[in-house]
Amino acid sequence: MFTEDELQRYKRQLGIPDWGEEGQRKLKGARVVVAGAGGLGSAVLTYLAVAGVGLIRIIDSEKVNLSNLNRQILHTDDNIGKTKVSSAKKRLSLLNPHIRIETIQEIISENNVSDLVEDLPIVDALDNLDARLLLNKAALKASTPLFHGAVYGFEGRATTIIHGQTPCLQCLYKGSFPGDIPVVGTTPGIIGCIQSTEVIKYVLGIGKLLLGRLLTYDGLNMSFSEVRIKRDPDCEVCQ
Amino acid sequence: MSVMASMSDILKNVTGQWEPVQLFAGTPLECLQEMTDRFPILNKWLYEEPGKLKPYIWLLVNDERIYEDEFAKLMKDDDQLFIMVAVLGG
Repeated sequence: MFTEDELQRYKRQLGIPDWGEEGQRKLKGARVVVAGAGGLGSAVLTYLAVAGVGLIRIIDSEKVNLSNLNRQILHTDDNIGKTKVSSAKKRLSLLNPHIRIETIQEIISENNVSDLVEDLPIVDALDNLDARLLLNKAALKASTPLFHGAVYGFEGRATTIIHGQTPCLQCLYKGSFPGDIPVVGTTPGIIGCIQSTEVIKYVLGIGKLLLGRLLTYDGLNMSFSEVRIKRDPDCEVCQ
Repeated sequence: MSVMASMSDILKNVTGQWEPVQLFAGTPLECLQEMTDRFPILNKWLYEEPGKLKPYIWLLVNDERIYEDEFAKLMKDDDQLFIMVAVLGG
């Protein structure tokens, strides 16, 4: 099942309790959608790839520009003007040649979202509310988990949404703070790592997911806290 | 009731208030009123129109998100109110 190269590559994680070769097989058989190959997506994709998630589908419509490079660590100066999905695929294939990467350079819309995500677990690494809410609806419809992350400046948040067990994204968000979003690269790095940790735990079936809990990160005070979140009784999406 | 109120960094920046504020208020709505009395600049950051919060403002009581139907619920001594700005950068 695993080559000697793979066993060596994953050796340090195979020793984690409840992981082993069986857990690694689950990861190798896993298919995950990552929507967004920007700041959050760079961290999420990097750690899902090196962990050995067998197939990663990346959705992003944008091209790399210079102002991305303070935080979007999958991309480099050489990639400016190229699509983010192509530079992400190139980098991730170098990080782990044993996984498959699918790329889709499209804007997520009401018309295509179900086809793009099918019934796969979805990582929400986007930067706008409208597309995030489309992913939310698709995840609810397919009864698949949505791993949510968001950042601003030194602040970040993450939660895991599973239909029937947690509030949905529409329960939480009716709008977002307008205007440009300032951000230090470490913030999406930290939140993206949390999202990828959630995906790995979900695939392996171990640990306690961020269900009904919004983890909040405050980089200026260097503190983490949790907000208990619940369904909005007036939510029209997950009733 | 004595309630401690604090805010997201965005609101700390605009008010210049970085430490929690002690309020004497009975409900989350009264807490908001007292906060805007102390920091009038908050009015334009919190409200779309009088009495209607902007859609990206969340209220947390004791680290639990509350919705509009709970804004007039009585609080207890030493409860904590947090005014959070929903941000969605990626």
